[in-house]
Amino acid sequence: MVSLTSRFAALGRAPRAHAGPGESSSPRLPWPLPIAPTLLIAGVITYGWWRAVHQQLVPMPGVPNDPRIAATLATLARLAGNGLEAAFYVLSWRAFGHRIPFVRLYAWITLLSGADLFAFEMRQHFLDTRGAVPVAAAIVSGIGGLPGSWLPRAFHVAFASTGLLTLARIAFTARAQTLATGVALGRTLAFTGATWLLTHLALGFGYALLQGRSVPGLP
Amino acid sequence: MNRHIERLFGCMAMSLVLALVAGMGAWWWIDRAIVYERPRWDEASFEAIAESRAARTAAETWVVAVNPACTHCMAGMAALADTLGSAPGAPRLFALVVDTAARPARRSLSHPRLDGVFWDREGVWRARWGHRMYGEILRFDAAGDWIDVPRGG
Repeated sequence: MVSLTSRFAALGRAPRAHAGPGESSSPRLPWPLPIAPTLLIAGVITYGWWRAVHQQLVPMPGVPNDPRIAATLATLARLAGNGLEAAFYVLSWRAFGHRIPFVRLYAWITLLSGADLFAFEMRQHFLDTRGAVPVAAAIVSGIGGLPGSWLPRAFHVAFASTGLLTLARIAFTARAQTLATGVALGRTLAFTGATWLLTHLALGFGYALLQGRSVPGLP
Repeated sequence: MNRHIERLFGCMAMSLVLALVAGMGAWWWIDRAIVYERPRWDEASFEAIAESRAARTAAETWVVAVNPACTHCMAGMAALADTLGSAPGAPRLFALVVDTAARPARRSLSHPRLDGVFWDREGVWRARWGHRMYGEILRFDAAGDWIDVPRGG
């Protein structure tokens, strides 16, 4: 196991000459913004997610209980998801011999989720006002706004956020890891992109299993 | 914490994600390999809860798969029944109660627009057809053959 983990460490070696395998990098990840603006913007984004979910649930007939409670639970689940994502990167980079401060990375990921929120709101805006998302807007906000794609329906839903804003979010998440570890951006980008791809693939498998042979797209 | 233990935890986190994806993928692959029957509307396959109305002439039969415990899909079915016209040529509308061990009460599924309510006692919808989403509408032609292109889809 020791030799295995050493090999892992070599994969994530920083380009600096003194950062050899087994050497932990000192925490260098700055806060994305000063603390007060970080908290303020994180609060706005969190409220934005709550509002977005609430607006989705209100017109749905038969939603049990108060939609506000469902929206609150969904928002808490999203915050927990951000925490899981940050914890995964923190733990994974420890396998490579690097330390990332969890709370700072969590702050980065929470703020970067604003890109996802913006993409979601953009898609909804076009769907509400025009009934469809133009292709150019879908390229920015994600393919979920399009009625379909060459992907099977379950995977189209799982990869709904695939667009330039999501690519930017992945790039900035990778950038944060580069700042924290000193590892080249290409490697952190590959790692973050692969993580995103795999988790969304698992999501697609899950949706497909839930759907079975049921015909999607019906009311 | 010991550095090697930290690395071990890191390897475990990555392995967990890989195992999750591989496991879900394998499950999906196995599920896709199962050959299910093509749905076919045959009233004899199900148990009538409410008497089927006198046969109306309709080009299509719409069957909504509902579970009484799913308030959302029950409300969706009621909304569909409210908006679906009943003029000659409009589809016949049936409710198919699925995934229910006990015979459902008739009053919980009464709607004037419904042409009939059936109970999927044998689990045909899930086990033989492979369908899983409550609230879905299954469209059949006059002969009972499934129309697999959804309206607007």
